[in-house]
Amino acid sequence: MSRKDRLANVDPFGNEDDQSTSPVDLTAGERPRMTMADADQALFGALAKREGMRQTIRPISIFNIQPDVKQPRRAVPYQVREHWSGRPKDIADLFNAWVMLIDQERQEDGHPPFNLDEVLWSEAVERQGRSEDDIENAPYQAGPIENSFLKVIHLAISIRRDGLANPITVQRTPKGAYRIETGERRWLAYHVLFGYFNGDAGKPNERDKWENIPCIVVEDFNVWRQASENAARADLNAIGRARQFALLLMDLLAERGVTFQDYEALVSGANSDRAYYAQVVPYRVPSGKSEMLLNGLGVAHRAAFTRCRALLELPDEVWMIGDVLDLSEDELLRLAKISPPQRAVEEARRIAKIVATRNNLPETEEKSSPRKEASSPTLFTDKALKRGKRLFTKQHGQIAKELFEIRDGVGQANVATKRQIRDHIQILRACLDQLESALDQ
Amino acid sequence: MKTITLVNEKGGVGKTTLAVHIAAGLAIRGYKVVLADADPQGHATVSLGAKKEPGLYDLLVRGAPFRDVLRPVSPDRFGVPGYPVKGQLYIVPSNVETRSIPIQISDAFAVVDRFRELQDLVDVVIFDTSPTPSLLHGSIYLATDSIIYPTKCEFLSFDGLVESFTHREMMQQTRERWGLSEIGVMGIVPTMFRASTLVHQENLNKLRAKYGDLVWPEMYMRTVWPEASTVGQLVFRFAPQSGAARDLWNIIDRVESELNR
Repeated sequence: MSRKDRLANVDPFGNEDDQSTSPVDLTAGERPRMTMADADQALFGALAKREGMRQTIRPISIFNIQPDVKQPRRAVPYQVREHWSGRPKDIADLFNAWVMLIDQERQEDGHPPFNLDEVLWSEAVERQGRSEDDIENAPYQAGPIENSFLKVIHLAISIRRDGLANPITVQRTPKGAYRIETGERRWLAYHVLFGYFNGDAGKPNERDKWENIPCIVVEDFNVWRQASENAARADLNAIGRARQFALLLMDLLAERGVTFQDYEALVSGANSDRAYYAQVVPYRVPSGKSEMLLNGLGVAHRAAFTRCRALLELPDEVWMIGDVLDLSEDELLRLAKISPPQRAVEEARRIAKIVATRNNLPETEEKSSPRKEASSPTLFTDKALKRGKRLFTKQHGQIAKELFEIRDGVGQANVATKRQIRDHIQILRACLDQLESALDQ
Repeated sequence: MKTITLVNEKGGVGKTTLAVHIAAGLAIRGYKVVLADADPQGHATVSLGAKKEPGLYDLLVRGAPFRDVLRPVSPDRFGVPGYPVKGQLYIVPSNVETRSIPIQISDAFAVVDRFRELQDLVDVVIFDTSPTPSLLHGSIYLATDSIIYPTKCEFLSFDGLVESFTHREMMQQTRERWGLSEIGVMGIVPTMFRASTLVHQENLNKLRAKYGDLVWPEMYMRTVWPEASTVGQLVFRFAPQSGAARDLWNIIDRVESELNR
């Protein structure tokens, strides 16, 4: 055979069918995720699994990041959130609604509208919310919606002054945007700084600085990591903890093949999101997983599960009021026991009313004429009842106010003090329960 | 902005030389071109007279802005003497640190996201890749619109070519899942062709029989290639009238018509 024939007879693509690599199954796995290792496997086929991956931080545009609607801890109250499409480009709507609702809140108490400049720009007011004297002497104490906003503003001030201490964690969505796993409030703070320090009206232009936020891009959305971040903070309220419990339990149950309806299918607009989380109520914690769930929630005893379940069955309105007002777990459990549910709702509304006026109660009875009419003086006849009248008409506002001040400061209390306070609460509650049942008789 | 990647999983087939010359040729014709050197060898970087440095690494790992990593390439290196260069050529340099990018970051879309920043600023981004598969390849495939495959008309180069085609196919499913369009095959360029050898002739015929019109005009093995590289210039500059330059302009014509398709 000539050289030419030999060359002509060889098929240089001959071993094409004998490819050792075979396509990987990319449809496997429930959550969308994409790491370099995944892309590598998609391209070159499967590799031996690596143990872990170091994460580095990279800046991502705040307009390419969306909050996670299921996040148990809510930086934005639901009344504000319902004014927003959920798209980062419409974020101005969110802030406008927030300020509008704050102004309504202030108007109800006869106070001037909210002034962002005063809070964010003036150095003097920058200290507000930190020094106790400032709070004591402040002319007006913020309501729940304003408080939620001030938390963001104070965070923004601290980020601008000291920088962002911890990057937020985000997960890439199939559409190329990023969803927040942890750090919603930090992300909002960046939006505040970006929107405010825009070079207008003598303010410095810092847009370059705040347009991108340092992010850790995580491979898959992990409710446990979100939970550990939430547990490490003091400000996860009772409803938030019930949500957290539900999300973690859902994750455990999903491993066992239990499926749940989507968040969007059950929750829309201004409705309560409780229905989504309440899906876990009929299910037990899978055996052998209690410890994991306890650690995830950052609680010591299984009794916490029972309490979370009780909260998940609260009437929707009580659930929402409890979340916005950060009502304590004990308070909410008390409401959970009230039947029929309508009475619990009325009770929650009553509490909301007290909270709304708690910080701005007029000093004298004369000025609080509507409340004076509400309590019937004929109830109190003898001496004890007269004292009671004074307590319930004149002083209940003051007591509520002081109790809430204790609540605001109790985060700093040590274990012993907390135990003492718990004891006192129990005594007070017993007294009030007895008084209430006496009224019913 | 179009992103083109040069791929062949066989080394020494002329990927870097072709990447550098396509980038330069497009710049000469008026395009704003960024050549991203994704090979830890950094040979595209040195071919354009830039210093080997961790440009791609800084971009992807340290989050450096483009203005800090892009190095403009002087027309003195690549422009045809006597003719002004109408466009611009920049290089994102590489050095040995490029190999550690996937150890430092895990997000496969890092390349997509960073180079998207150039969307309205440049016309073409060209990636020169290493022949050996690395974790970085997957990310570059996610960022790529189309691929040019240089190949010698030899058995091992064809093996590399076939591997590369298989892997592109595999990647399509992933891209589809993420809503990305299919990676196009821009063309296959037979390089270092020696018409005087039977083996090259036979193999070129087989290449054309298999891939048809995807096979572009062959580029001949010519002494001017190593000469130009020795004096630190591109062929357009060193020997604008040479056969090598003619071969190149044929390729640039094809690239340009594909870009404007």
